[in-house]
Amino acid sequence: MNTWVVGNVPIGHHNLDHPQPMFNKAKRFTELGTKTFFMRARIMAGQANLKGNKLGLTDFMWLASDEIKRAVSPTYWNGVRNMLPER
Amino acid sequence: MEWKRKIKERLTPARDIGVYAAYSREGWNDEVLVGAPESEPEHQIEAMLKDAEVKEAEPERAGEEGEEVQATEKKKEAVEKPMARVTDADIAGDMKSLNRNLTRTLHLVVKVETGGWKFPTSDLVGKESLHTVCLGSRILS
Repeated sequence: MNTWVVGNVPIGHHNLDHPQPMFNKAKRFTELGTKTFFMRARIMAGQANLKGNKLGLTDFMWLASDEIKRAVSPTYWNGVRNMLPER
Repeated sequence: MEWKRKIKERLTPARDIGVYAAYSREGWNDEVLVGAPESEPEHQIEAMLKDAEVKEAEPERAGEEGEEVQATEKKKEAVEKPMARVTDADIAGDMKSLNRNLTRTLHLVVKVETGGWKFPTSDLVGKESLHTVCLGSRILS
């Protein structure tokens, strides 16, 4: 999969507070939540391959924005919708 | 000169209303009938391609002196017809194909362990920058 990350600047971010502060054993501090920064990348050739991935991903799809709306949870969609291009 | 010749045939610059002469006796008849082939985008694409074809033959004409080249020696260099916008993957509904839905921007969405669909995400380890994380763990695997 030949990709290119567009710039060093993220296109948006999403804050998620944990319902209760979690203790992260690996890093040895209490986590209050997660901040996710979204980066834009373009695919130039190839296809996504989930073999041997370390993130525990099972399946993938290439979706247009209205299809993403249907597939993804409503709160996630609300946070992500304004980062996506018009068409 | 090319334009004058074309306009004589079509009587109007537009390609979606057929042959229409605004200042003739038939000037009142300016509306395309329902279901007429002219309103189909395919018809218009073909009309545009036809115009494009003849244009390429034009420079060859200039070399010939005093000959009527119009009907006889037109070497029509075929212009490639653009491919269809609806591909096989569109019809099959193959969500994993990049050939689907060519008019829209497609985004990669992955299924996480918990069963939901999200954009691929991974944690930052140590002093990694956002830019390098994207290239490294998630996308290339």
